[in-house]
Amino acid sequence: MADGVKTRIKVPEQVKAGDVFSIKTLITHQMETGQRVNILGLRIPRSIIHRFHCTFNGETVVDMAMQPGIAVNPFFEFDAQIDESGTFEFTWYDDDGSVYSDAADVSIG
Amino acid sequence: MTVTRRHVICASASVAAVGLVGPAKAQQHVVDPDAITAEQAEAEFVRGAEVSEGGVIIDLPDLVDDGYRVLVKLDAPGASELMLIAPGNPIPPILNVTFGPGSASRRVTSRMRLGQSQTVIALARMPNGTVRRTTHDVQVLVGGCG
Repeated sequence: MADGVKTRIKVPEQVKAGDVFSIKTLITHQMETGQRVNILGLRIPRSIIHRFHCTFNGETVVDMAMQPGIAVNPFFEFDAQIDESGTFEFTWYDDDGSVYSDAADVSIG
Repeated sequence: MTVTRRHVICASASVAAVGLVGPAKAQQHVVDPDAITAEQAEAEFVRGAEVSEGGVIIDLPDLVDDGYRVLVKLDAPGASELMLIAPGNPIPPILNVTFGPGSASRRVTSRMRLGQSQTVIALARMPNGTVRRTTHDVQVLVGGCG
């Protein structure tokens, strides 16, 4: 597991049914590209988050496949729309096999 | 290779990184054999479908100071899948996005790296199977891939 990985999500607590709202997510991660070399001229192995998946009550909202071209501390913003209260679940998949997850409850108001 | 200030700074950062992730594999800094070209990445996404120009909005500055983190917004109304390619990067494919039933728009924002000035490509697969393609020229002052 990479050191100091922290997830941050921004989701409204309450929305109106059918309203479009935006979700922002961020995970702290060094996103080592595998292209850099160290002082000895040796390549630093690739270590990135390669997939991000967001679901609402089990249904996919967005599913992203990421390459090393995504900048350090991957950030995403996207839109969602719901008709019932429920839980957004966010999952990040690391090259080293670690899986990081976070969740947010949203109610209809 | 002449040693510049940038090398020294990068190298000292790398030493710290190696300490964290364990010993690096003894490899030459050569072109990654697994890296696919932009054309290959594009062909893989298109899979022989009909391609038409336009239809994807790439919101990206024309001039980027710092290639290490570039905010990019993509919007492809009606698309089911998006792909972003930076042909000038060592690893051209950047991001694939699949939109599910919970998604309200075909808009996504993220931050990418840009290695040099280049023409960024965005592809969008439409529900009828065709692919829309838009390009955007971007000038990069400091590359973000080394």
